[in-house]
Amino acid sequence: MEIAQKVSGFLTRFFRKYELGRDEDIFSLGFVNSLFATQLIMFLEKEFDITVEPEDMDLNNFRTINAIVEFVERKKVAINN
Amino acid sequence: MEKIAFLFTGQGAQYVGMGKTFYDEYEVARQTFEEANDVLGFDLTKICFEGSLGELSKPENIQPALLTVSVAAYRVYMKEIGIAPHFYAGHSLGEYAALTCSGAIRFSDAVKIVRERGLLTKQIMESDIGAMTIIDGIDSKLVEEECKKISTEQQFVSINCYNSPLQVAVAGHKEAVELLEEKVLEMDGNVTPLFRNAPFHSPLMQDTAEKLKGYLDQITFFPFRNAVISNPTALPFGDYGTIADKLAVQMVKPVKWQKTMQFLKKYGVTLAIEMGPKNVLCNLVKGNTPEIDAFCFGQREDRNILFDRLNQNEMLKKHVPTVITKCLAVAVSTPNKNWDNEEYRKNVVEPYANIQKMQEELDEQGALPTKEQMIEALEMLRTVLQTKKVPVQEQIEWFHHIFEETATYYEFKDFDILQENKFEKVT
Repeated sequence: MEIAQKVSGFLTRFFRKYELGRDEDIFSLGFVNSLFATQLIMFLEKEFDITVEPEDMDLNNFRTINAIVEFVERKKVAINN
Repeated sequence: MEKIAFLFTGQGAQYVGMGKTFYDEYEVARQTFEEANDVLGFDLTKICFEGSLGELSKPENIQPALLTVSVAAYRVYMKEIGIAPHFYAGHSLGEYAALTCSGAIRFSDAVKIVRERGLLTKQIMESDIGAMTIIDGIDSKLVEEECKKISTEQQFVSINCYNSPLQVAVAGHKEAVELLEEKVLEMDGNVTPLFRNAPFHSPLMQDTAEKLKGYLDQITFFPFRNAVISNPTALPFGDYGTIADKLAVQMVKPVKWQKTMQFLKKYGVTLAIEMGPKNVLCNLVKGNTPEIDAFCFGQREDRNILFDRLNQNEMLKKHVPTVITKCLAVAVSTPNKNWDNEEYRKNVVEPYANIQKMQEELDEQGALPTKEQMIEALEMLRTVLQTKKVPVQEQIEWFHHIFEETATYYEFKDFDILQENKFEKVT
């Protein structure tokens, strides 16, 4: 399964009926609270076998599905090199 | 008048790097982390400061980690500001830090207890029957009703944290929790499922609570310096002999945080200080009791505000105890059971007068005591307590509180009354 689908699958549990666009700002919709970010990062680390470093903790890395996909790809490239 | 409550965060407040500023800048924080490492037998500091959030968030790691960060923050506060709070309250796991900082549990014991609690939590999570979810934006009464409708005898869900008028958490069997989430979203509420989290504070934790109780029964507890508000009752713990029971009950009963905040407001608290890495409970103060000011001591801007606000409060600063003023206070406030007048004069009255004179001189100079002076005062107190025939366990309790309250625990770790008895339970 491609990264975007897995991330969408995770987010569905928070949004359920809302059809979230790939470039839509997750944080501006008002669906998530401050504990969401912790849950998202734990999911990404486990699902894609990456480590989110303190310097990665920039909201822009996680703002949209596309941003998350790009971030995960970047991390995976870094691991493989 | 300023009336302070210290609040201690539970799980969910963690991030990689938490506590590092304290560790880098304050010796007492470093010593606290090192003590935790020694007790655990592995490098907790490394798990806190480096690596993945997933590793840190494992229950057997996160429980000792959050406790250590919270206690380190508290000790930095006591060293740098020192104004004691009127109340302590901790949310869920935070209750262990609250009890530790109130003096009721030794830090090293608290580390062991929450490590055990973490390992027990891990077992529950591996069984994979339960789940927990935060719900925002729906009145708790409505959530309660929906929980009742969904729950059957085999599959149930219930509120496990009453956080604020518009935030609760629910826990229970996975399927039931997911059904409730759907219902909440239909009602236009928000859900935050906590992945890899146990169904804390629900009946699913009954076995865990019993195992934990067995462990807690071996621990020596101490009297409280100030009241700790208990999660399942939203009232002070009361007798410290009941702590083990109440911590076991806490595992299976909901956290009444909303009522806890109401209690603090009712008793006149004006300032809440969150002793944790992130301002999670500060947000709940805003949602429950906006008239109480709230700051997070783990965040630099907030910390600076507190330094200004409290260190300039001469009324309160005047009462910050030192080892010497504490020794003098304890020496006079313990009842005497020795009626040998000569012995009393020689071993109580005279040594006390000497230290009192020393304190008067310090007051005149506006100076703080040196370590040698502190040792003199401690030795005076030991002689006084022995002469007055104060029971040994009570003597230990007094010294424990003096060191904790003045944040001098590590400076006097080798003080012999603690060594000879090693704080073991006196039976």
